[in-house]
Amino acid sequence: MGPLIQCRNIVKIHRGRGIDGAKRGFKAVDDVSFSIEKNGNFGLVGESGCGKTTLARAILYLDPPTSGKVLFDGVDLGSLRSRHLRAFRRRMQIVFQDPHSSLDPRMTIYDSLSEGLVNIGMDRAARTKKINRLLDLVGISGAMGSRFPHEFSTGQRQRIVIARALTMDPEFLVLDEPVSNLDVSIQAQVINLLLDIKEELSLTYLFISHDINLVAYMCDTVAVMYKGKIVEQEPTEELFANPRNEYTQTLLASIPGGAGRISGASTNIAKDGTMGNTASAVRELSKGHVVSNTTGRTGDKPDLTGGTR
Amino acid sequence: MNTTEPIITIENLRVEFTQERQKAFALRGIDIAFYKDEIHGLVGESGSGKTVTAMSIMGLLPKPAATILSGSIRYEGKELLSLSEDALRTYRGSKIAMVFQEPAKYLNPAFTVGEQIREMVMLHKGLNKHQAEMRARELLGLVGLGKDGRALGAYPHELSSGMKQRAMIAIAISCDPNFLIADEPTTSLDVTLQLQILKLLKILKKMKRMGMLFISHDLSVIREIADRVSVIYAGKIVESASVARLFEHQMHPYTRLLLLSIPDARHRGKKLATIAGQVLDATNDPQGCVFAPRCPLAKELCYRESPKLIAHEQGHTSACHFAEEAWDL
Repeated sequence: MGPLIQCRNIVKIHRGRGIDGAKRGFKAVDDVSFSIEKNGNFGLVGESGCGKTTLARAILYLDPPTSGKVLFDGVDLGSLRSRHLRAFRRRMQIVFQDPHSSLDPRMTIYDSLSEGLVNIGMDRAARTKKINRLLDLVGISGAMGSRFPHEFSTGQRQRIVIARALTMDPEFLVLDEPVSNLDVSIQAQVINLLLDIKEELSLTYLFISHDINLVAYMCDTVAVMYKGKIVEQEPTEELFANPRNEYTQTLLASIPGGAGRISGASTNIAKDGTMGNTASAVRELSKGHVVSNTTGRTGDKPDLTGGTR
Repeated sequence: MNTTEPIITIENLRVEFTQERQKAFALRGIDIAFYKDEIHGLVGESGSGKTVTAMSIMGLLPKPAATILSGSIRYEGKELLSLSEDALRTYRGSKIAMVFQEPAKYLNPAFTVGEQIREMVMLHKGLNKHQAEMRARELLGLVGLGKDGRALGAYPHELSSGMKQRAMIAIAISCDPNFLIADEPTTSLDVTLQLQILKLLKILKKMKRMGMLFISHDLSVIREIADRVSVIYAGKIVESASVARLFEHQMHPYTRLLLLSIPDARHRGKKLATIAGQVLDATNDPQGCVFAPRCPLAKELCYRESPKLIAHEQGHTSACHFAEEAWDL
């Protein structure tokens, strides 16, 4: 199977509104390239403010990238006119972190879910059938469709948002911190649901989270993002067994009480929380194992593998 | 095990909130004891009563919304609940201090960090301005903000969130409290910062020989920092044990399920254990066990009779009718 999503040298610069900011702008995403296989489960992990969400929005062309290309199933999204882009939107959907703010409080669940279907001209009977099926899939009774978002708990709302993302039969789903707002017991329910529907509908996921443990559990490939750049990208097992990048090592070492704890590795991040300068360029060590240039030079790295897991 | 007298003892504490004539049972009778030199982790989901417990100790429950129905909170044998507001103020800050989840919300944006520390020590310790200044410097050094004294004159907005939390901690320990309450102090921080703050709290505990109540919803954080853990569910302590013991052997199905529902990279592809259903609505007051509606092991007895928190071997307590039985989930 070929890649469904290919990102090539994506750069996103936020132009500030201020006198000063307008001149320089802020590079939120800096030269990011990767591809996601069909049916893949690609994880993107990094600290807050490192550009994860900006990157996701750029990929979906919600906020088109400043430069670089996004290829969806081989088609360059940047080359499309807005009418054609809209057709592609059906094939890719996003689930946001906060289900409270992503559901319209004045619309019933049924209305929220049918909005997209109305747009494509589906008749009422077919809509109802489809919505009931989707609600059923995420474990919410179809009879609850006439209720409003406030009548549901956070976990249920997140399920509804997932169901809504599925109404257009997308192939690609971006999950932007979909469980960060949920309690641990509810989080597990939603994660299981996501894994189930991925299987059932053969979806492709881009899973974004700050929780490396969760990403490692969910995804088969993990990319670590730091200050707008992807500093390391590898198959999950490889990343955990043999992290090359200094920042990845720090991240793994920071998992509290965790499984992937690296003995002896200390946090390298300055005390005030400002991050040191890392890599500028990225190179490929072996197939599928990309590492940032400042670290990962063969020979000068202490062997940390002994302490893992 | 700790054999000394506890610093703080809470017995059968029941707190109720009234809002729009609706009653919500925030705490349904809590028994817990905190010892010197021990970090006591309190873990539970949102709405389970973690923060209400902390606020009750601090005497900061919102009034008149909250009513303490019964129970007692004793600090070194002295009843705190019957103290007047003035008397309580001599405890709050100087003997019992608190670090909050969102430092940005609790630091005063209009004053520098130095001023906020000085205020504390001048008020509670009666230091003069010069002494207070020295003390502030020393404290900031202690929490890792001290190198050049720059933080002293900094306003909260000039600090990053990790630095803010350090400043909060400096303020909290400024009067050498015997007991520190840390309410989700790392939840709003990134993982790398989280680890630093956890380390700092651990070092401070050792240095000052404080007792500490560490509140979190994250069992893995608790495992990292706590000496003893209590698990709270729907306003009740369901299980309590030393960290080593609890993670090895659980005597309440809720704790077991909570542990099983944490995603772990080693079990990729396998399904996570889930706890069916929703957290018990606080307006409900069931006759039986609060966890029974979600418990896979629940029997008729569980709905009929509320289990008491019973002590088992090695200081392990559990509120489950079937704690002693071997069960598998």
